[in-house]
Amino acid sequence: MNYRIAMVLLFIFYTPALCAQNKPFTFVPAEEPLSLYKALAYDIVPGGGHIYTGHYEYAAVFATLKISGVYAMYYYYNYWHYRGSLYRSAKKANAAIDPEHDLQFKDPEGGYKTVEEFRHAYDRAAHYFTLSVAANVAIYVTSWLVTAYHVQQINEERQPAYIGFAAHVLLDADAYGTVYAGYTVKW
Amino acid sequence: MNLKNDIAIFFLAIVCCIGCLHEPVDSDYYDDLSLVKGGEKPTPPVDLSLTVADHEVTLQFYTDRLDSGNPVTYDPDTGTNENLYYLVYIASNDPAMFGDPELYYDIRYYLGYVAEIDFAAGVDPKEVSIAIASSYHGPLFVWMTSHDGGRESDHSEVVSVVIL
Repeated sequence: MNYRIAMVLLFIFYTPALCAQNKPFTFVPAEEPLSLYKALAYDIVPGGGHIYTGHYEYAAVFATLKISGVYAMYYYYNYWHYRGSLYRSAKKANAAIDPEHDLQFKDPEGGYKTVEEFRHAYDRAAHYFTLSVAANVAIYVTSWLVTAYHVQQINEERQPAYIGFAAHVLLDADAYGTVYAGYTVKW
Repeated sequence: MNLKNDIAIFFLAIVCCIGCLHEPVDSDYYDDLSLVKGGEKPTPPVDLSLTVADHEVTLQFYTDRLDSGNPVTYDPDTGTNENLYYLVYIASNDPAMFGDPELYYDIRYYLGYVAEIDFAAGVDPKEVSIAIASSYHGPLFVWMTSHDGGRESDHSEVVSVVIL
């Protein structure tokens, strides 16, 4: 059989089927893009977002930072309440024992403190807690930004280069009997 | 695997222990006098008197006179007055007019101190000389307290004199 006839027959039989399905055909296989929202949601878990994007070294660093940060927040929250209880107890005792003098009470962390000094220590503890919260916010925001950047980078690499679908098939022949066939391809 | 579990449990235990280090204390935690520097407060010097001679005021006071077996001025924690300091306060206005009793112990009226060990043991009355500026004319009010290094006593009686 003449190969031209074979090609035309193949084209005639193949193209309508393709057009009828109207399915995309892929010349360069493209992976599914990563979801930014999923990545950010996973990143609430220490290192989760970075594991999702496949950056395990970032996952280790941020997981360590986040766990340390949350622990620091827990520690200083307890410490803040602890210093507050010491201050309130010293204030009450000073008023009960000798309200006309500033008594010095034994600080469990060493030395003696007046009620006023206990109040300063209580304020300092509140500052430590505030700083630990701010540090955690900074770590989380940085982690999210890095995760978003990685997702963007990965998705740029995964952009489908040649995906289209056949929308119109053209068959024609010239005066010498040569058959031309073509697709109109939409991108 | 068991070793890994043991290490994880060990670190978790450390974390929990450090967290528990700062358990809030009860409101009556400091009601215990052993946690107050100085413990019980000492008693003040007694029987103060003032004499004036040419703008020099001499303050006399008693600390060693026995009262119920103890010196009249003593630290209940030690039973003696050997560790005491005697603080002198002076004012040109009557402290009876102070609105706030804390002003009896205010730094602005504090003149200075002497220690019990500055005097011969057991000798009463003790004397302190105070030089007054020659330009000053008017009333002077003096009172004292004792201090054991941690706590200050209540103030003594207030004595006064007029500088002419």
